[in-house]
Amino acid sequence: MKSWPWAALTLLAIGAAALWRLDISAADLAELSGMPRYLSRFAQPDFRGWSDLTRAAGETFVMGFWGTGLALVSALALLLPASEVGGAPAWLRTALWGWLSFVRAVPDPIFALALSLAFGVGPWPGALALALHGSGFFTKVLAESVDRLPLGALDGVRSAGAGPIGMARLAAWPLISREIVGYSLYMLDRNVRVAATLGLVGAGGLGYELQQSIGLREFSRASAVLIVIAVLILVIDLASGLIRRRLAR
Amino acid sequence: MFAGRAGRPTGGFWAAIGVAAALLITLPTLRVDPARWTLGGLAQVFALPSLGGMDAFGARFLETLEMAAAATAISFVISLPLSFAAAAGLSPGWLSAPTKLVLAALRSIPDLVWALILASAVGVGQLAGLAALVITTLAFLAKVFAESLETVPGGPIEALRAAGAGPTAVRRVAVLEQAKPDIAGLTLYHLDANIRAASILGLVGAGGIGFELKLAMDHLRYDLLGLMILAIWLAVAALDQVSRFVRRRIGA
Repeated sequence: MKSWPWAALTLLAIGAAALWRLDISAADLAELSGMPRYLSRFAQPDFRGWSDLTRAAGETFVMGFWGTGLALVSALALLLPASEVGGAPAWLRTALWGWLSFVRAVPDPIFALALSLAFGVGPWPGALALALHGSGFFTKVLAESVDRLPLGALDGVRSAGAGPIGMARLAAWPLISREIVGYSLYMLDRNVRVAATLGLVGAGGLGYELQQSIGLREFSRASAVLIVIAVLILVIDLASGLIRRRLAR
Repeated sequence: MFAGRAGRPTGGFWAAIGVAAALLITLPTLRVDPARWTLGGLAQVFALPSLGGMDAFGARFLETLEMAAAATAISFVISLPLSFAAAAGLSPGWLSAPTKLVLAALRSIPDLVWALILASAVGVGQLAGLAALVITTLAFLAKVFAESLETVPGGPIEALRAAGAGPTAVRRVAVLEQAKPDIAGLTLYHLDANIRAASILGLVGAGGIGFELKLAMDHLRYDLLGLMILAIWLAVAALDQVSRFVRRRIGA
């Protein structure tokens, strides 16, 4: 506990040193004072071409939805080999956890770029990139909750004569299904946010619309796209909060 | 969840069926077209990088780490007082509610989008990336700091108040002291998130290694993509060890 001020000071010192090394001059900072005038060009959103906007919003949502679904399926498949109770050989677990930490570390847009080399530009490699990243997160948290399962419940079901499937269904499933729903909602929320940006690297959807309109300096159009992004994210945030509260009851 | 006591399907079963149906219905939106697949294209990413055009790589990578560190430190300094303003119970309702609203609005725009807007406003470069990271990081940190300040146990606060301590002392000693491990853990977590974020901001012209990546993609140098994936992975893994060590020392 005593090292707290030192940790904070170290962070600030590293931050200050990094800032000093960066190529940012006082003149650059003065540019920031022009921000309000720049942002005022976004003041009148232009919602013409509404059907393009809804199509792009749908594409972004489906990218996030499929990314989450595929991540969940792959996590359910990798769950037992990754967990301690699964009894997989040690080398397999080590390799699997290395892979999971790898896919969690690499940012989604980079996976999207790499996958678009194989699958062509569009929302499909975007969804796959989200699934790859999500599978790393999902498998990790679910394997950890499987390992936290109380052994008593498993033994109890086994001594009542249940096989492995019965054990999974009667002892493990009731306990982790709630976590699966919770993490799925979190992933969906996160993936739709990220999907909105994947368009900036060519994966379609709202990000693509935004990049086009800012590139052409059509700020009223860009403003409309930004509003659609914010509303989409907000709606999913509210909906997942609602579902979570209903399940908690 | 899947089967009720009498073996009848329950709500969870129907929810799973519903999700599966929704996935099938939405599949056409993704425009999956095996005719366009060239799976061999992926092999280029993992080819050994040729050394041409690599000299800028190291400098840009360092720049990425610097942007992440500077943005985290700046956001930390701003979000700490901001979190006290946003925390219900520590500041009056007329202050905490609007502060939370502004933070939520800032968070509803992803960092890459902020970077795109800022690069278009202040010009392509590191400043746009740094500002984008600061905006998203402080909006996130101020929110989670406030949540952790709101949930500290009330006992020590009451005790200090009863002993006659003023509001400043209560804030400093009872609230901040108890929320410390949370705050340290969240900041470290976000430093890690910022390294990953900073590495892609360059794709929209906001400095760092992502800019090098964009150039590489424009010049069809896909081998650099593989090298970059490796570099980011190693940086994040190294930081993971550092933050595990620091967290243990602080007791977070």
